[in-house]
Amino acid sequence: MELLVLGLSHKTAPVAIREKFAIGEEALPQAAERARAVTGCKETFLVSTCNRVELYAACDDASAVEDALGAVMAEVGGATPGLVRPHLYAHMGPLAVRHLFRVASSLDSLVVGEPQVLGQLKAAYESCRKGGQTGPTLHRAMERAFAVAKKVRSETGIGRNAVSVSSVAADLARQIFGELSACSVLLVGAGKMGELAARHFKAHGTRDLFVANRNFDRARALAETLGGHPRGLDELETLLTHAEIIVTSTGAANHIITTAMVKRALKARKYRPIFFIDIAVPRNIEPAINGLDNVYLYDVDDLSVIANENLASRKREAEAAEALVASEAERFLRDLAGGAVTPTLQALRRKADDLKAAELERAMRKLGDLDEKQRKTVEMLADGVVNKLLHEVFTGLKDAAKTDRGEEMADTVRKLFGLDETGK
Amino acid sequence: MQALVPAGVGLFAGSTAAYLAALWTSKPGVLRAAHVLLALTVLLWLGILAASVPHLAEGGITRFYLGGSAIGLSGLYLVLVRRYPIAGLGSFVSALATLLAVFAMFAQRQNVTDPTLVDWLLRVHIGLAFVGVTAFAFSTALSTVYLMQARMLKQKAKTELRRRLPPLDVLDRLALRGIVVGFPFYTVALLLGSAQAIRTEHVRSSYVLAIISWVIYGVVLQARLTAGWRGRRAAILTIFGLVLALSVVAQYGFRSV
Repeated sequence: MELLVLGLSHKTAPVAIREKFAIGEEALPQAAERARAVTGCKETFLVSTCNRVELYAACDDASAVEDALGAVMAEVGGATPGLVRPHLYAHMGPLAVRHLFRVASSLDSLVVGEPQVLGQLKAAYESCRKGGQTGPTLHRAMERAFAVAKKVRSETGIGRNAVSVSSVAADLARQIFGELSACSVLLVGAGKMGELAARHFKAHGTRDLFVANRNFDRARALAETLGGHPRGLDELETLLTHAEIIVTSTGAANHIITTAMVKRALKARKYRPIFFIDIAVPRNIEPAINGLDNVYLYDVDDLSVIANENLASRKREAEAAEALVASEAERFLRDLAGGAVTPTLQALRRKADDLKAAELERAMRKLGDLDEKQRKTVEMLADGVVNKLLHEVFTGLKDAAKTDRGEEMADTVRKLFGLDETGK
Repeated sequence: MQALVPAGVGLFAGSTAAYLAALWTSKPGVLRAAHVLLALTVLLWLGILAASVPHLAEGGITRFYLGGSAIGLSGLYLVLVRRYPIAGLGSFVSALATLLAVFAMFAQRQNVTDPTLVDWLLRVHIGLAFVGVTAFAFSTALSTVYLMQARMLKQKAKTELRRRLPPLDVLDRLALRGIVVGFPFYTVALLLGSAQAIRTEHVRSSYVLAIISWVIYGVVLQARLTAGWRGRRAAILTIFGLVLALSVVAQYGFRSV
């Protein structure tokens, strides 16, 4: 059985093509079933995320079904094969296994190391498994892919550091406050970047969110969207005494938060720490406040520098992850080849044992009354002959399984010993 | 068993090295190995101290309590690390424990010439003082890391170390708890020490240092609990308080008492 992956991703197709393949989880089994109907295709499963759609298949001969599966892919996307074909990539055998492991380990993702793809892959596989489109070969490959992804995450630093401005800000907040569940966030201004950061903090379970803006109606609208409380900008100084995390993104030309304001706020809040994130340009917060005890100020450049540093660090870690994936793929292929001869080995042992039992019974009948010692000696003789005869065959098959001749050798043994097609 | 004291000191130093390696590599396996090494070190010291109990009347009480402080400090860390994200604190705690163990090793070599050492009042005084010092030592380890972490955050350091050290809030809260726990023990120890000084009509310079360190911890505690004082200044005073408290210990340990 050979693995084949056929797909398109952010690396090969523009969003205009990818969006055609946005398939809900519930529709995946149906699409996978269409692929499984292709002659020679035994097991299939389909995964669809915003950055990739991929069809995985276990088939007798991958190159023989590639074109037919490409046509199925086009059909799934509601496009003509001619439109889709230039964006499709195909990997077979060892390359397909390596690709699967790379995808699961987030080495092929738009943001290398992002954790979502593994969850998406698991959900898609589970959906097709329940639909009955998968089988033992894909099951073994997927189980191993999930294990490899876990290993890559724990043994390399690929997913360790945040790589977006918002997530860097959340990371820094955690280094100051630990758990964010006791922290209130104050968003000053209604800029897009500020909104994104506020959403990010909300997703990290912060307690309250206040939105302060010069235009109260805009503050109210944004607060409603984010699930926060609207406030006027005239309440800013009072709000500084309550919030732990302050995000500023107004279009003001001057500093709206000054050192004097922060000093007063600090005294009122009994010097509980404050984390200021100034993502406005020009800056909204007087830089000198970073010199005050228990006050931490990061502007957009500071955050970007850390995000870029983290991205570079992920890329360095990705090299170690690639090596790990390559060795795991090799190991899996060896195991898979070993698995190809296992049914033949088992069938041969069964057949030999059945023959031995029948011949022993016949011989015992002819020999008549034998005492226990004589009976044991005859049985040992039969065991010895069978085991010595099979030993060479078993060793030869196991050795062949470690190379690409495993299936060929198993086929020969099946023919020689009169075992059926599946090795039974 | 007493011959194992240098080995015990070496093991504390080894634990420090293991925790530094864990901090450097950020590998969970290395951290687990460091925890195991520190736990084994604590067990060895428990054995050393248990073996020395029958001979306390002949001297070595300072060494006994110093060893006890090193055990207490390390044990406290091994317990708290299961509950709080303070794994990055290991090298600082074990370094302090190493320092206490080195004191214990040298104190062991002193001949006890003062018969009042076997006095029960003095024994309780020293015992309570060491419980207090252990708690203060833990707060000091936390405060040291606090200062490092706060500095890195202020300077926007792009170092990996910043991510591996505990959050400021956890460090600050636990440091306060250490002082809250240690202060009553230290206060009673100081009162008993004063009673002993009056009884023997002999006031040592170490008492003055002890009172100054007590005042420092009192100020930190008062300011933190009533005025909400926290952060860098509290951390610096906590470290300074321990330096004074340890200089009292050093006077006991290095002088023939």
